[in-house]
Amino acid sequence: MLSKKRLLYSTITGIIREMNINKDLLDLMQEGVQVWDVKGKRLFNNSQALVLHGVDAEEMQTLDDITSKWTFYDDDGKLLRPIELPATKVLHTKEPLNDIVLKMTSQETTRWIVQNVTPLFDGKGELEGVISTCVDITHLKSQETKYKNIANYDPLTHLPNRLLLSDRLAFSLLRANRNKDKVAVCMIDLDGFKAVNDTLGHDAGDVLLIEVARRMQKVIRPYDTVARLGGDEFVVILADIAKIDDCAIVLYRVLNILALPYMIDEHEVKGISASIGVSVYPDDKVEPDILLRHADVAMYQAKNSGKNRFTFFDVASDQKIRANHKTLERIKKAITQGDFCFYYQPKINTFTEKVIEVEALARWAHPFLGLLSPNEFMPLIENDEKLNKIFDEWAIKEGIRQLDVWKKEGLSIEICINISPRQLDQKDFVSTIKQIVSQEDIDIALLAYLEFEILDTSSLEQLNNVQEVISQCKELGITFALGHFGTEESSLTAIREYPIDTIKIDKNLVMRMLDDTAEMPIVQTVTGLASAFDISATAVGAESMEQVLSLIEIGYDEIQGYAIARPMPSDAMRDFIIGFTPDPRWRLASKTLPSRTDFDLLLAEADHKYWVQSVIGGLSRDGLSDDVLQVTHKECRFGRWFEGFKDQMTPDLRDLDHLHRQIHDKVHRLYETLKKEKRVINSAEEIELLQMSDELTILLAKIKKRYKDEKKHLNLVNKILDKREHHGR
Amino acid sequence: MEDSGTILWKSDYDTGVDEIDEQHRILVNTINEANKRLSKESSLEMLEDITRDLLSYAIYHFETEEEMMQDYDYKAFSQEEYETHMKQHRDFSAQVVAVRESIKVRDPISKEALIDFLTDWLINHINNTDKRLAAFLKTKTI
Repeated sequence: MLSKKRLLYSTITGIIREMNINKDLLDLMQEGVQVWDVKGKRLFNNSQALVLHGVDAEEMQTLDDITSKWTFYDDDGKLLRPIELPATKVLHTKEPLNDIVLKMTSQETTRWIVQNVTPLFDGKGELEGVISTCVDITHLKSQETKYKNIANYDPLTHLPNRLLLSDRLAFSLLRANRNKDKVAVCMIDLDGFKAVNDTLGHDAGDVLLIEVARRMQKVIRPYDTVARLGGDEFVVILADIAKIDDCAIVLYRVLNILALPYMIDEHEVKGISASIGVSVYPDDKVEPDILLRHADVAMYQAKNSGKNRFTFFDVASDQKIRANHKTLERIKKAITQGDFCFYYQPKINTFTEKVIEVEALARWAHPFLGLLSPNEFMPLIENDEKLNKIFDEWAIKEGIRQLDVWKKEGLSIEICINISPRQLDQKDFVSTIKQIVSQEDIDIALLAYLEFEILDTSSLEQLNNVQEVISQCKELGITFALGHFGTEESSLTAIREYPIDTIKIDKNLVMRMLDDTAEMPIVQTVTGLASAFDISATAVGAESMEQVLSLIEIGYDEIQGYAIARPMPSDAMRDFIIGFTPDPRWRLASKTLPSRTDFDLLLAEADHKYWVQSVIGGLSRDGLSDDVLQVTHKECRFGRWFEGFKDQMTPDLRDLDHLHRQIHDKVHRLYETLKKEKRVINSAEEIELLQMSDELTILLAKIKKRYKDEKKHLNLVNKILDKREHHGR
Repeated sequence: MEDSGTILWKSDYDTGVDEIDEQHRILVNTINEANKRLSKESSLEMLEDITRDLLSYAIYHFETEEEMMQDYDYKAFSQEEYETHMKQHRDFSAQVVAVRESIKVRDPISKEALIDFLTDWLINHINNTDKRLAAFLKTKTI
């Protein structure tokens, strides 16, 4: 490419002739002007060129004459070989070079010049030589160095300042990458410095800082950097560290020397020490400014754990915190971009045989991980106040939006949404709800179909505004439920304190009530408690038909759980509600008040079911413990309970007895067969066993109903109680 | 000065995919932290903290890996390996959820059982399943 500075005289001889004619003029110039031919032989120079190079004309015949007297460096201090000098370079490349800053040193002196070199071509475009101009900028350079010092060094201690520190740090990190070793960034803050400033004055403080700087420079290694950030804050960069111990050695030296007494204005000052925080690259593989910040964090830890020590930044916990933070951001994004949705689980009234409410359960439709259930992400959301608020607002919005959709489809059903106690403590919570309602353009009367369920009652106690907020919500028609009821003492306080409409007994209690005798009384008590407070009780977590029947018998009308239906998407939920047919077995359950006898029967029944389950479990895993198998139909709890009826066998009781024996027989025969054939139970056998067990449940329910109808309930009770006294247990 | 049972990161654990390795180290650190904290005293709150970290880990780490699997169509490469991998991820999440359930009913899993589960998972999953994924990924990326 042609430069605008390229001179296009017909021949170089013409130029030299012109120059020689105007030599007097050229000698007046501040710039040194030289013309060299293609072989590097001097064709012309003005007098300033000689002055600049400190030679007379005889001593400057060729370019080589110059390089033999002077050594050249570029602006960054890099030594230049003769062929790298601008004039030589242009002779080679035929491209002009402009404003090249060079340092030239001889045995006597150092000079700085700026040089421009332009190639000279003949009429045919053949290179004939170069013309070079250079200006002496030595005086400018020395000023620049001075300015550079001001910009880069702390005027008090003459240590590198923050600016130079970041240069050095960046450089050290690059080196560490290349050499595969470590760099330690040590943030140093003096302990006890303020007291010196306050008692002896700022001048004394300055003297102390200068001494601190001097001492540190003494103990660090030559290739380390100490910088002062300002005040009593210093940074040491320890480079070329192979292992952490290397860095500890230097830091102990720093701690020791800084803790020695100082002499300031003939006062001996004691009690100065240093707190040092260290971040190590690349163990902590972050940007330089983050490294400094991490060192700062560690420095505060050193101060807090007693000063005069160094503490390493905890990379592991930081990584974890940052990763966890990323997850929260991820969840937030998922909520706002609509990756969350609700699944609904119906709650039925077994008495009216209708679906009375659906519980909204959040799902995260994760693009890679699939559909995540609440117990995989709610603990994270609940642990973060901001995210919890975002989630709760989304839930309310989604809930009322669904209410609106169903309403328009002619479906009036209540939706229950879990809400965190924290939201109920926000004084503006109600206005937030109203805002959502108006934003979504939804009839505010629909809020009467909304129920908020509070799961964590234990945290309610520490909150002040809950009472008021709940009352405001109730004015809008929103109802309230307490979840996980029966597991925490706080739930008892809560039904007294707040206007609760429903309590929901904890699903773990329901799930275990038939297996664990300790849980059953709690399940029974909760219904009593609910009626005492005139609120309704819901049993959640009913997973089997026998649990449902037992719950009805204990006195629960409102039941939710897998035995009724699993959570499902909103469309499926709508179809479920519309096509809902109650299970005829629910009617079999007696709805009398529970009695001690019923309870025993329930236990006996449950025991039997549990036994059947254990048998199936054992037989399908190729091993059955003897104590499970050896139970005969007379030894099991059901059999013992049945003993009480031996004197008054009715046909249905005889059927029951027969079926019970059949089941035990079946199990024994099955066991023998499997042992002989060395295999596990197959599904046909399993189904057969379960069907027999189900028959037993139904038969029992029928018998109970007959007793109730014949009003023989009391007699039955007395009879059994009498027997019990005779036999004991 | 290391506690007994502390897992030291071995270069042997590296799969060679930086992003994955970085996240694996977090799991190692979490296990070590759990070991250290639970050996002093074991409280329900502590178990809750640790399992919460693990839930978070399950989200960001599995997302990273499963996104890579999808981007490079690991399933097409080996349906069996893909399914094994996914199943192990789901099992991990399910286990952590089960541990949290056990805390909720105040019948928490023992420290030893938790650490054993995590360590086994780490060794089996990282050292086998993840390495096979990484080997596949390395054929796809430069």
